[in-house]
Amino acid sequence: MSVAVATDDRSPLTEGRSTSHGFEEFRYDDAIVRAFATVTLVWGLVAMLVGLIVAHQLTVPALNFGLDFTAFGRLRPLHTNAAIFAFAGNAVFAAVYYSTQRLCKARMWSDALSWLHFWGWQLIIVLAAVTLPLGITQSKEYAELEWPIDLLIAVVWVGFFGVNFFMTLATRRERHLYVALWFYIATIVTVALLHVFNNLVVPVGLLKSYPIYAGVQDAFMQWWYGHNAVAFFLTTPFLGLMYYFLPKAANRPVYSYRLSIIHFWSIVFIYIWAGPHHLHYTAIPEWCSTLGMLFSVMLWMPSWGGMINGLLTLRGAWRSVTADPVLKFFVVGITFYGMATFEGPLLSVKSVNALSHYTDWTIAHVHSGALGWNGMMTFGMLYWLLPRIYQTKLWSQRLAEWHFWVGTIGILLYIVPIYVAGLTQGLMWRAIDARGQLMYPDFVETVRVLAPLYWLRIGGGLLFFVGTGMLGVNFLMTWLSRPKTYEDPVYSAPVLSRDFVDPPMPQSKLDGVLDVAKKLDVWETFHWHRRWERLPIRFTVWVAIAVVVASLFEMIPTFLIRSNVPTIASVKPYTPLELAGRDLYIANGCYNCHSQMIRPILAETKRYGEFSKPGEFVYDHPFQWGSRRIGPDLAREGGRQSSLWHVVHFRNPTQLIPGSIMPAYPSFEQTELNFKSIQDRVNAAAFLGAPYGEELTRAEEMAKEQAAEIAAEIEKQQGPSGLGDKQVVALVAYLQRLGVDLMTPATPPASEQSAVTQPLAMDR
Amino acid sequence: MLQDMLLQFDPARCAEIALVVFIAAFAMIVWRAAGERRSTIDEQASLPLNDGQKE
Repeated sequence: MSVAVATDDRSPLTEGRSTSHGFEEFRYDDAIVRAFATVTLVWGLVAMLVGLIVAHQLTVPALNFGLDFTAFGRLRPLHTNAAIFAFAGNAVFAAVYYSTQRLCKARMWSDALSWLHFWGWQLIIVLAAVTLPLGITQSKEYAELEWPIDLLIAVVWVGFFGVNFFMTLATRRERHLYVALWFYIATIVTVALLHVFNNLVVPVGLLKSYPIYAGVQDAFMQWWYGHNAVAFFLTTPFLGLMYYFLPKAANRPVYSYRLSIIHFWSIVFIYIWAGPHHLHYTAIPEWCSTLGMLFSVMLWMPSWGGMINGLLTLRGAWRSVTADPVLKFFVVGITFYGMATFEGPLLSVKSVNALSHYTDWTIAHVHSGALGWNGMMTFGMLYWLLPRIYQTKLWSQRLAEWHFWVGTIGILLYIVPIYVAGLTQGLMWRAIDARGQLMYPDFVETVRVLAPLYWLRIGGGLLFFVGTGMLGVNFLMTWLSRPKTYEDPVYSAPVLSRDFVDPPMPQSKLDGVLDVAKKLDVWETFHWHRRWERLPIRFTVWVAIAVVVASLFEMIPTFLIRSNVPTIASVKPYTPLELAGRDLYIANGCYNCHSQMIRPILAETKRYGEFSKPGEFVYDHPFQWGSRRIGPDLAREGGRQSSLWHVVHFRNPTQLIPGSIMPAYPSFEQTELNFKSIQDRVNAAAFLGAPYGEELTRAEEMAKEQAAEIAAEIEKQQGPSGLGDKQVVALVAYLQRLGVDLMTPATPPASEQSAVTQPLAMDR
Repeated sequence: MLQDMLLQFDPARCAEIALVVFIAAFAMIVWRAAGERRSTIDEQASLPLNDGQKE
């Protein structure tokens, strides 16, 4: 469908043609909007379908059909990336291309760049859909894609989308930049910054890389990115969408334009600080964690300001809401924005986070935002756009109504059981009996109890998917009833005068005071801000400064002050075989279910052992702290079980742990380990600071020697023979290394002995 | 010298400085928004409702 639309001949023949009285004629490019709207629907259905599959796998793990490609750890990133960058991303682009042209009274600056952007973005999505199931991943949540795709993203985002957008602003015919455009500016600038700095890596090959950051710093960088991806990919552009499409649909201006200005700057100033709340009680510095919490709590203020502004736009028009499905979607979407942005700060409060983190509560929160806010706003926009971009009536208003109700019930049926699951799991993990022991020491007990809730979640997800299918039918039928050729109306608007003279600077009304006071009085009139609002480049620079200053406040101390990451003498780099095992752990997405971060909380140290120290992760490129415990934490897994136990557990987890929902990985025993690539991996790790010696010249041989030792050990434990060249030995080597360095006696040089933290005894 | 400065610096101060920076910025924003003329605000708010003059 999109191809047909894309090739529709609508060349901007009249773009910029002058008419009398200083007016210029132009046409809007709706073909690009039609294309982005179409792929929004298509990728939305794909994202939701993959979501349904992974949700099923948590109840029936065998639904990966024994294939590594379809296991939860590989499909879950596909689901999140598809939902964020394919579904929400394309919706944002549809909104930006439609509204920017109208708000600027200008066609997009370059049709060629518009289409390069469209096809470039779809190529990125297809590459993601291919590489993630193949296990080609950086393992950083929502930034999993490997470096060649990251480069492509930078080119498409900045070179095609960014240039086209900013040049459209530069050639606009409306002097004031409406607030929706401010949100788009913030989105484009900040996402570019986040993407570039979180994806600085050292390539090991075409399909593998190690981030330049390690451990604490990598975690900090990732959640600076991860949190702000939510802020500047899923919030600011959707707020821009709300500020444009809601007044359009309600046919009335936004309730308070003043409030929208406060909303914008507050969001831009505050959001960027809040990332560390994803890392409470982990090994990041305490001050940083507190700062993240404080700013997260402050987010309540602008978020609710925005929500109230949206809902009050409908004052006196609530009757229309009962009749118009578009407004219904918007009202529910904005309400979910308010709910999710109430809950987000709540979850950032340390004591709440101690309970919620690693549980399904976070998943419920995320889906409340993604389905409720992003989903419903997207659907509302699409239903409003369909008759306009296809120049016909919406095929079925009634089906849109059905979609609304089915979708809304679907969201509730999804999130309510998952909130219950999150609270249940969090409370079970921390429950301690009268003797001071864990009430549920067996982790799998806390998983089995969730099964009925997981089934209910599937029901909710299915309803939401069916609702989107209804949109698909409506979309298709509306498209089928489009006119043979689209009308391409010509608009006209006065040209912006190049020699625009700013209104005279206001004069101070103060008398009998110092000149400084008069200047301050004039400055306080904010005539300079009104000037920025007409000057997109200057405006953009200030947005970038707001974002960068906030980021640097947290990053410079975290990165420069050594005391934030005390070294531990006994912590050594991974052996070549362990490094290869670690890369397999990453490729299979184990971080999606297992954390490697024991928080200093009694129930956690009782369950998993000594809490994690920042110095334990200095060779972890990338960090593997995870964000969810579908399975237990593995930070101190080394030495807990025999090597044979791990082999059998990979082959069939339920044989050892009845009720386990981990997928089986029999292929690890059958697939040969690529020893040849190990030297490159070691060299890259050495380049990043790992103090290797002999490994720099004979990593492959050393890996084979260690593999042979582990294989012999497994055989000695009555396990299978001949595993020395199989992937499983590398994984076992890695798992047996996790967390043991802290207990290993260290013999640092005498000169360094006073400067290092001595290893701590572990209470196992 | 830079090293000495960094050693002396208490990173926890960042949190306090950040808070002050934010409050100052927020106060400015509110002041700016509140000080705008009603007619200008109304004109700007109605921009989405005007797609340009159709020929």
